[in-house]
Amino acid sequence: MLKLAAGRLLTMIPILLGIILITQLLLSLMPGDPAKIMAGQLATPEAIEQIRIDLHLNKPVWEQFGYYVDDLAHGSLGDEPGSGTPVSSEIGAALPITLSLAGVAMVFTAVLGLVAGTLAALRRGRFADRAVTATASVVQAIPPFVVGLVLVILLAVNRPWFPASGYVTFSDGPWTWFWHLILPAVTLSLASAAELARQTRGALSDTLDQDFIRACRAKGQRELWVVGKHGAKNAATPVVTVLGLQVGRILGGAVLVELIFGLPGFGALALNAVQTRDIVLIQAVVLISAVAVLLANLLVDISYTYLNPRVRA
Amino acid sequence: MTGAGRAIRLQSRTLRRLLRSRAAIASIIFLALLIAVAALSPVLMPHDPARQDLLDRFQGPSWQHWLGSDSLGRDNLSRLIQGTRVTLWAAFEAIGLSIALGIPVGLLAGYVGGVLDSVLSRIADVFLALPPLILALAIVGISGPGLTNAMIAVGIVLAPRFFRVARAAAGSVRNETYIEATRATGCSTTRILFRHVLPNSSGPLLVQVTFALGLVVIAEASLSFLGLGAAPPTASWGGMVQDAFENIYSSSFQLIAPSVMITLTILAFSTLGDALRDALGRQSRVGD
Amino acid sequence: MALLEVEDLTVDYFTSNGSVRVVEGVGFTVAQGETFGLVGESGSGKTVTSLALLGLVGAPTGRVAEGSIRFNQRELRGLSRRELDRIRGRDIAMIFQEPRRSLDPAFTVGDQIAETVLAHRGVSRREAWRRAVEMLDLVRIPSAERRAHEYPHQLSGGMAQRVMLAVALSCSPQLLIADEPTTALDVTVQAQVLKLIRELQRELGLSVLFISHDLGVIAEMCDRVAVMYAGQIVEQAPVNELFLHPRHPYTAALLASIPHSGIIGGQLRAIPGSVPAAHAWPLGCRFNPRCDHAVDRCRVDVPLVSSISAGDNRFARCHLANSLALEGIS
Repeated sequence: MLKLAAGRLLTMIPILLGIILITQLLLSLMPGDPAKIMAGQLATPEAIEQIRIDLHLNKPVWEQFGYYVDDLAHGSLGDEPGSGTPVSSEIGAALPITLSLAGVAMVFTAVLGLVAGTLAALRRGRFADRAVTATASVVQAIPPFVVGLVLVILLAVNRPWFPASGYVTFSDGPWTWFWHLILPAVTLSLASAAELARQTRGALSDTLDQDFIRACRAKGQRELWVVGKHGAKNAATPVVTVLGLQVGRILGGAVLVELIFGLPGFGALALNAVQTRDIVLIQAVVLISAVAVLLANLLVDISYTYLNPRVRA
Repeated sequence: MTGAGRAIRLQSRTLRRLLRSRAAIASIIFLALLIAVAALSPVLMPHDPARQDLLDRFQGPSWQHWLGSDSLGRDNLSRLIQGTRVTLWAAFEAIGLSIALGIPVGLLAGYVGGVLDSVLSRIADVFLALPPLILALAIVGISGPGLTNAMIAVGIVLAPRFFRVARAAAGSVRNETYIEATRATGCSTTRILFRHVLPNSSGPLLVQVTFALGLVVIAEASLSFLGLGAAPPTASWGGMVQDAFENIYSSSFQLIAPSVMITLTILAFSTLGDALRDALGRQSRVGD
Repeated sequence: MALLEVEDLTVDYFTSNGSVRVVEGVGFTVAQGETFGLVGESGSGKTVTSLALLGLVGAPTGRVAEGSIRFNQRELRGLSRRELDRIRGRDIAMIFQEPRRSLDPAFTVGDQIAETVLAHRGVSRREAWRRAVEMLDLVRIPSAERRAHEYPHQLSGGMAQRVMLAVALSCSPQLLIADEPTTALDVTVQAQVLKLIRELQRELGLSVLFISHDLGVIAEMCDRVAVMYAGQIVEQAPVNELFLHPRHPYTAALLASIPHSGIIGGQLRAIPGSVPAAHAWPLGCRFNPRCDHAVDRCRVDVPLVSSISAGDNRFARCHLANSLALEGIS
């Protein structure tokens, strides 16, 4: 298994390099003068020229690419033009917040999605099944920011049960930390939970139709055992796949949710970068997001070897 | 010239099966109405959507303003109608770009195979490795805000999906006898792709287009909500939700109309996509 | 003494066209230590019958509409799931047609045997595993200890069926239901598995309900046989009697259609027509459209089972059962 992990980590590298290259190419297509845009409207010509030098904007694309990769190898994601603040420290401050949010959201997704999906699969064709499937469809159609706003209005503005915004670090009080994260995490998790519920229902239904499930019952195993041990392990592969895919969705949704709930996380940072046309930060955001998604895929693939013995060979 | 075997062509039989689903019919009617509203919007709007009336802010529904007025006294109904046109036009732009980018390249990759296919697939994989909204944000960050730029971004983000479907469809149709026959008559590759491979993969491609339209609507709404899409004073549904958010303590009523419209539109597309996929259904599913 | 008594078993299946009767009025007994064969073509209802015995036919697939299933004088029909669980695997065990599909691909072979033992006997995990290895030995799998850690996809078809036997016999059941156990296997492997079943039956004093469409296998394995057609039993007899002196036209037709080594240059006679689908059973005798001997009465009156010889061991469902002299094989 370690060999697999190492191998996959190696294949991540060309993909990440590819992403860096593509962002460099896109940047070279940027309309207008990047240095001027990044410097802002009040900048002096000297400041603009400094930015041009710092970011090697006069050099050809492949040289820029080289510089970037070289910086990366030395552990740097670049510095903010102008202020010189290392981008990595900005990200370092913001990332834990988003990780907390994403973590709680994934837990909600998993619990809600698995429970609903299993219920639908066990009561296939009956009311519970149709209710779950229909609800999941509708929920997935509601844009995440609408969900967030509705929750804020209902539960934080009209009735101040929950805080409408703000983040509290874990060390300042675990319960308050969690309490501030509930609404945003629920917002993030609903669409993903709906998707997970549908996939779980499908996978578990298909599994329970298999011959070995019937053979299991014929051996005298209790139904709970049949579904919980045999059904679950065999249905797990597509379910875990979908769960892994939600990481990307949750990262994207974090941008919206952090705006609505005033959380100074990675998503808010990304939005800020886009609003100020901060190329250096944008590149770093893209890279980190890609790493996150690829790591999630890696975890999913590793889990396959445990879940599906045929993969091990 | 139809092919047997695994060609999944959009035929009248499929359309008939589709029309048996009540959900599909409802979606089609809804979307048709939407298109009608968008087309007729100048006529339908009771007020100028950009006209501000600062004495009349945050009104609830009234005879003058059927859906009330927003934070600058603008008529919500007119803005909603304008938003319909904006959303549909934006969707058209984005999908057009996606299809133009993704399908030809996908068809080529699937049909030709080999190294070209590997390279193109890797590139598509790289794009698909990124969370869609982040990628869209990055492109907007580079190109600058504005609805057209936002739709270019969305178009680029969705192109890999069309690439995949087109590639899979071309790959499965590639070895059909009628394609070989066409090749034997000396047809050029482009001609083969567009006159034979494409029509016979039209089924799954259309399904993908329908789902993608739903994704575009969500993406446009999200980007506008973030202030990166349609610029004021142009109304867009996402922008109206943003307005509601910024004035959340003054009036929560503003949220309802645009949210409902966005949700219903997305629901219509996904329902239609599901029904279309089922109608094509019993044949092998190609692509995503 | 009868181990299993089935009386008037009637099963309906739920299809998209409504409820369809697939098995009707089936009755037979299996005695202790006996191998009873249930033979018929696909669509005859033999598999459904076997599933119904263990209560494996229920919502949403179908239901047992009528009848009685008694095991050791105890009525099985109407038992709760919990009570059925105690009987399945422990008193009555079943092996299926596609052995590799009937084993869970995600767990080792040893685990699947051990979990049966754990379910029915209050032993430790280690003891259950030991028993699992012991069972693999019993079914003549070499290197049992090592094999127990393998997964179903690593086994051949014949090996998988042996594992199924190991699972089935792990708690020493009294009755083994074998549903087409060798149909999916190669001919040489078939012979080995059948031999194994016979040996195990002798060693363990097992009763076997053997279901198959292959008359040759039935002849080899069974003491008594029932022939099924279109959801009903049409003839029942000790195996030799059935083959030598069939009393139902369908049985005779089946016998005439199999190639057998005694006769060279003889003609294979296929039965004209095809097996009717469950929702389209003919009126009167269900075999009448394909029967050489049908008379007017056959098209109208449903024949009841009539006893042929003294002692309930021989009967046929035919209006002309006692008058026809049908050709068998020797």
